[in-house]
Amino acid sequence: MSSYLVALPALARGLGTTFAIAIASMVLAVGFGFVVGTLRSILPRALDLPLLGAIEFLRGIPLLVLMYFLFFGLPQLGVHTSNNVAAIAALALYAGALGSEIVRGAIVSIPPGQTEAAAALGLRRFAILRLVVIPQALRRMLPPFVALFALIVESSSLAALIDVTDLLQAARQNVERDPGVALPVYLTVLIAYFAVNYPVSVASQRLEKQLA
Amino acid sequence: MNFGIVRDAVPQLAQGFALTLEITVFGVAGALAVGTLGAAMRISQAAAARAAATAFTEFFRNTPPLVQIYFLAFALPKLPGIGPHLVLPAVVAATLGLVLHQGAINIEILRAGLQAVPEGQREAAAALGLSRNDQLRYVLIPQAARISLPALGNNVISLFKNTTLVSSIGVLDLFGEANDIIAQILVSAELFLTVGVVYVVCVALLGALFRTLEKRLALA
Amino acid sequence: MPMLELAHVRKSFGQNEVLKDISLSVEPGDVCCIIGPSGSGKSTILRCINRLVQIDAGTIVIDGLSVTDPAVRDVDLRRRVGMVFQQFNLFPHMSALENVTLGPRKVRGLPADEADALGRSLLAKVGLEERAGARPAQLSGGQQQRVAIARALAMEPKVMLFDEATSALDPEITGEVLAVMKQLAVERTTMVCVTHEMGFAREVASNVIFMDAGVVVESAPPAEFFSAPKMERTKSFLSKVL
Repeated sequence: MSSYLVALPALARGLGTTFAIAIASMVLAVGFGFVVGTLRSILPRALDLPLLGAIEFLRGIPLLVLMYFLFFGLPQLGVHTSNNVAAIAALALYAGALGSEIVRGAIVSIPPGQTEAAAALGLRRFAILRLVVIPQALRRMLPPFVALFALIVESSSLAALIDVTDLLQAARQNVERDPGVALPVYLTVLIAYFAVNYPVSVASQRLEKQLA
Repeated sequence: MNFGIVRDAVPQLAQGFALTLEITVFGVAGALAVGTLGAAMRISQAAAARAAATAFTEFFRNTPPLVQIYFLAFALPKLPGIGPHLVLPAVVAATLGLVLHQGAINIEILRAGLQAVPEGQREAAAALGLSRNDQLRYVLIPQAARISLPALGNNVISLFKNTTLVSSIGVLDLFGEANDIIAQILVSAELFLTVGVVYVVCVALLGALFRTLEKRLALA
Repeated sequence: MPMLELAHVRKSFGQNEVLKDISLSVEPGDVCCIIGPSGSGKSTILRCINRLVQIDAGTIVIDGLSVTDPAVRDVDLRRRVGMVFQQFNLFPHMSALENVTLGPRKVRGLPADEADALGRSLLAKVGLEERAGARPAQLSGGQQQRVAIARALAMEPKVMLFDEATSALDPEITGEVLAVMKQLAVERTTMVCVTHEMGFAREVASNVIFMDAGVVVESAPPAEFFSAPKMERTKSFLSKVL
């Protein structure tokens, strides 16, 4: 019992790191998502293909492989990163690919009549996007982006495997020192992740209903 | 980069890939079984069954599969009393973790699919005098399955990608074998890229498979 | 003895009292047409008759069976009552014939060949025998509704309920469905029709009921109902729709 209590501060610090990584990745992912998603919604097919290829690659490669490549593989090619940077970069790229699909999907779902009406008023392409389409698309993007944050938090646990001291890694370190605390420690970790992700998941579902 | 390394690694990687496929097949089957049973419980008339299924679903789909795997592998054996009987081989613990996590996601997918069937279908089936079981079997579930198919397909792809997590507890799947080789030769970029491409190609094939299935079963 | 009798039926959904003391009766072979504005409770009455909705008070008796008696099973009621819906509600994953034979096979327990023969004859009756193998998505709205009528008839019910059967159809298509309904009336099928089709009601009904805000305002044979309505609300409604 006492070794469990001793482990708690480390777990709390680990949780803080998990949050930091998740938030940093989310911000980057939303940024990438907006830029790429908006771009893809207006690019002609030929120019869109490379972007499509990149996104399919990022969605098809397991996150763990991507993370290991960025942390262990890149130094071989001359690019050195810290494990924190590699973890955030991998998460941001993966979630960014998903985010771009969310953005593009929302933009494309706005009825063409909106674009036609705006064009009939004389607005140019970028203005139509900026003033008419994207403001409406924003509402539709909200629930899936909230769900994406939960996915990022969940996926951030992989960072432990490249030695980032997040919640899972803090747990692993404590259990390594004293295998007897495995049960309470891992249970606590599960509950902590649940405590974060369940409300986020519920929020996403509520938003979906409200904005339907 | 020297891709000769990859050529030499092929036999070992092939072995790992075989294990990846095996884990995927068992995982998908197990997750589908969990999903069907759980969805049936969630629409059951019995409040206890509904509550149990909902608790299971929300807990296992909102927690990371990697942590679930660690719990099954390292925490279960420490349960007072029955712990020593629950020491699972690593590959079993890992596959079970995937089954529980992706199974919980399936429960939610199937439940949502059932709810998406228009209420008029249930009314029409009931008006004909069909029992509740017959309503589900002949009218509601066939339609729910078609509605759920895209999401179920995505979940299969997720499970396939998540098989890489088994390497974290020493299971020698494709990724595990790759890491094993890298630990010896200390060069990694080529292997990670190659293995990455293998996964991407498999995911693309799975995606195409499911889209074909959706087209075949489409009603309109 | 009436085939269908409602006495002092009440139904509320939450705070909203949708049926406020409804009484009506339908003799065997009669056609009862219910008209009225939206929200008057007309569709709810039909759903109370086959227990898709449970009433709060009052009695409903069909062919001697009491709907409010818990000993009477759902299936016993629903074998005596056929229902045709505004949105057709055909099963999209089955062919027209399979839609029609599902009830006979699974509820009436008929063997497959008998059910098939019955199904084909009913589809012929509604003019769709060559479309037996078609899926609903391949049929027009009017064709789908005719299949839905055949599906309800396949249960050989004592009473047929029509819930605004033509409201979801394009105006030029309603004729083909109304023709089938008229044929059933000529054959002395007991029918209760919630409808907006005043021409149909005038021509075919034994009795027309005007409902508004959960009460029966007026009930009379069509000739009298349409030419000399007694109540102000009835007159006002008719002046808007005729």
